[in-house]
Amino acid sequence: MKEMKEEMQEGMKEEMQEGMKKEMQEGMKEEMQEGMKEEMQEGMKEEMQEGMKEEMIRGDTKGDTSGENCNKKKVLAIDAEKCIGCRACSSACPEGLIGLSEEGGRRNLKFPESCSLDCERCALTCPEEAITFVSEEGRSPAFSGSRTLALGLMACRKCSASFATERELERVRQAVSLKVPLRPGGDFWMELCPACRQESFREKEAGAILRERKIKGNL
Amino acid sequence: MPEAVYADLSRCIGCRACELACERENKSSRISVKVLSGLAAAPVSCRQCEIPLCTAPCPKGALSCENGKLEYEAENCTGCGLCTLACPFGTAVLRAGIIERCNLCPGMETPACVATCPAGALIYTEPGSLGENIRQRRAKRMNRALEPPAPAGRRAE
Repeated sequence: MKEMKEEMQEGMKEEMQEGMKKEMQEGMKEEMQEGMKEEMQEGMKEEMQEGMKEEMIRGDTKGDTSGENCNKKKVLAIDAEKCIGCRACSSACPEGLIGLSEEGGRRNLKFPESCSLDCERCALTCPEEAITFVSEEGRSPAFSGSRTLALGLMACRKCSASFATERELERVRQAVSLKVPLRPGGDFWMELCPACRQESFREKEAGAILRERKIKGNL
Repeated sequence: MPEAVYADLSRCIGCRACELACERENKSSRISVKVLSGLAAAPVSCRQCEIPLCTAPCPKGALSCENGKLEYEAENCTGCGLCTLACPFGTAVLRAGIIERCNLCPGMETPACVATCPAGALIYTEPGSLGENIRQRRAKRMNRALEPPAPAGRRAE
């Protein structure tokens, strides 16, 4: 709760300085009266504490709420819990504002606070609906500021190259097991990168003919 | 079972003409041939699975399977690449936001790779007509290879 209050106060101050004083007060009052109170207290508390802690630990909060962004209508709200790091948003963004990098076994996604275009392509493309656009007034302090997500990558068991995030694979595993019951040991390919899957399949296919020709060669 | 491109590995000579044919037809090759231990060449392409796992995680239904035929709608594809992670054979590739996998050359009677293969190693057919005793034939060949060569002048019975 303390963190929340602090964040609220900060957010309030900033926006007050930006001449939003009246709107904020009116808007907030209304929202609070409209039963936001409970949501704020329950939902927000968790989100805030988790989200903010993560950011604090990683030290990548960039309170980029400078004058540039205050004129824009909509802000990006990223749900750090939902994002699986699939990069769909990054390839969809016409401006290329969503930064991608991979280092130290982690995939880093850097989201801007807002963008000048009114396209919402990233939100529409997101398979997990982790991206939403909220209005400047209605935004919650937990989502403010540009955010960097660092998601753990899985390394291929064969070539040890990192090929996907743990969350991506978890999602794929769930979807696949809904369609086909996976026997224990029948999902070994999940831990291989696509290239190594192809190679192990090739080796399996050619196994018989390889053995045959090896025997022929030796005789 | 749906029709697919199958390879007779005992015939494949590893010339990679199928790769070139696919590239000519589809701008990028969706079949790959590699020579293993200098002894056998093996082409690998989409298996046209009866229950395609690649469609399972697709969030917008861009990849779907109807009547055993895989359909891909590029305009619905978000380019998230989850299908490439769900393919057990690693034959679906995400390139420039589009999924590339063998679509059996729609509009052609036989896929370009099959039509090109000079060794007749690629077969476009239903798996049923491949011959159910393919394993038996393999076993026979194996047996023949294991037998000591017949001594000269005598005919093996």
